[in-house]
Amino acid sequence: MSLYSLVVDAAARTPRALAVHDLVTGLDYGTLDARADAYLAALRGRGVRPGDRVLVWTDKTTEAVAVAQAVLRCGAVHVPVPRSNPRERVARIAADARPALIVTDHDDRVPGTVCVPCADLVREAEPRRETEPRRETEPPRMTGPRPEAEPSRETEPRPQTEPPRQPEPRSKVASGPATAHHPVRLSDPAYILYTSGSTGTPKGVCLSHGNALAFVDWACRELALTAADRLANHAAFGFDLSVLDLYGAFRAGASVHLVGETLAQAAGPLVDFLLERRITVWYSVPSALVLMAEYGELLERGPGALRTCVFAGEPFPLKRLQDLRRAWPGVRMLNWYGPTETNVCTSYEVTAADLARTTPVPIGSPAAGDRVWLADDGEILVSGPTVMLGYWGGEPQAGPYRTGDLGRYDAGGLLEYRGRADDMAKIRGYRIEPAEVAGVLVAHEAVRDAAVLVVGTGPDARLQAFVVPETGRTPGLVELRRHCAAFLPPYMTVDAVHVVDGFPRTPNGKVDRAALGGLVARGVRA
Amino acid sequence: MTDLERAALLDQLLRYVREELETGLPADQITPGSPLLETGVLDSVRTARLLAHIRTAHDVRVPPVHMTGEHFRTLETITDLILLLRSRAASL
Repeated sequence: MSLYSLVVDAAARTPRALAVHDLVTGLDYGTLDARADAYLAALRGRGVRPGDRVLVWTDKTTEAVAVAQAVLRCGAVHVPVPRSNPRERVARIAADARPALIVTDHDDRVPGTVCVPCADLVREAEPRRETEPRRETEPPRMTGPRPEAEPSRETEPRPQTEPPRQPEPRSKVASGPATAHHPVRLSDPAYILYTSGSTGTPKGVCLSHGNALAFVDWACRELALTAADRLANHAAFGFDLSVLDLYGAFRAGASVHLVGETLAQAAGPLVDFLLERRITVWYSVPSALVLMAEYGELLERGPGALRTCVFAGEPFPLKRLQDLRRAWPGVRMLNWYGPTETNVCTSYEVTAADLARTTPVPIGSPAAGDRVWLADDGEILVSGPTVMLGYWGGEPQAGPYRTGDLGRYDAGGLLEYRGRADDMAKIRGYRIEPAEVAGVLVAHEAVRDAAVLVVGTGPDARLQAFVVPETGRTPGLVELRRHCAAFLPPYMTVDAVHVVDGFPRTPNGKVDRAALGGLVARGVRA
Repeated sequence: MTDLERAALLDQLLRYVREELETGLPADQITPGSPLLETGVLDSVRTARLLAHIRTAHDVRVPPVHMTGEHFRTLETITDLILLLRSRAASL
């Protein structure tokens, strides 16, 4: 069993069922499977070996999904990085992950690395089709897209007018050396998700095939996913929410509908997307749903075909959640919790009973086979099958993972989220280490010192920067935003800049962040 | 579509973004060609508000398939998108 076998198995069962659809193109399982094998051959041709990392810096497309499958089939480690990350940040990630290859779908290049566009890999895979003798007993396996699947504008899974192909023994299909799937163990690394790092550099959370499958298996049962489901993929590929959308769909033989990075920011069109694609399972941060309700008439226009709505990544503002629950009594709603390091480790089902509550909904009880408990100081600890292997380049994770989140139990014994033990913050579900942003600001020539904090919650959260300028300089907001944009993903850019002479300090000399927050409240601005 | 129409539309969008979108940026720093992502003009809240404005003031709904980085790079590209969507609606 491996993470890549989900697509292989679904392709054997239902080759004509829709697997993945981006904004323009859809691939059925048979085509996705063949395409993954074509990329696999091309990656091998490029010298990618088991254990290598392959960084995939692309928009959210069916091709990027096929490349990811190829990376896993190669026994290599998938490192997805959202397209919106600027070159400098990708360079930092690459410096840590040391990928054999960076696969792109654009012209940007990272100096000192091998960057290859998807299109080149497709071309490199094609000669193989001509030169490699196909065994007579094998059904035709196309390395290119099926004519009827591209450019497929359909949003429909094709009706199965012909009986599914007989499942073929894997050994036969993968008999060619170029496309033989590398056998992996559950403990082998499958992917690395880079998240904001408190030391100023992104840190890579490394998860195994077994980590991912433990979560996906649990989630498929919990959500009762079937081949008839249509999952939306709102989160960027570099975020762990994507793991459910993609691999949950693949395990169930369902379809996943990719929301491009720009569409993901557009509340109104997102509601159109939900309805037009007849999405049955939605998973996103609460902020996305709040904005869709506020700007896209989500409550009035929905739920369409939606049967389950899952949210995670930040607390759902209670009144907004109750509005949603009231508007859609027939939709199952789940509040999930878990840092990238553990994927989902607790779950709470929101029901009509929560309409009467006056405090935020709990994060619930342990999920996915994990054990979750509180340390004496209230920190949430997690151990179990979904806990990461470790940070890439660091020591293997030993013992329970300390989340840095604070919790407590409610009267019914369910876990509640209380906040952070450190400075880490969330903006619309995105995890941000203020120190990483401050580190980038200090690198600007006009900035001598910087401190960053998040003020506000939910959709109103804003990243506030306090800068001590170099003598004679007054860095403006535009200048610093452009500087941030060159080094950080868009969600980490500063919303406001406050120029100060120095920082308020606590008695032991640390920056007094509470006092800085007070400055924002009093309206000190650049 | 005339050049005059395009200029008027672009001007109107520019005024909206400068005066009502609460970008935190001084008006003179926002131009028709400013990169909207890099300057932090379009986050999820402001994207939602801008689209709502385009719908009410210009009677254009941007369909999901057109919500791409290419179309939303600058106010100029957004103007071209609105004109494209309008001409399509007119030819139906």
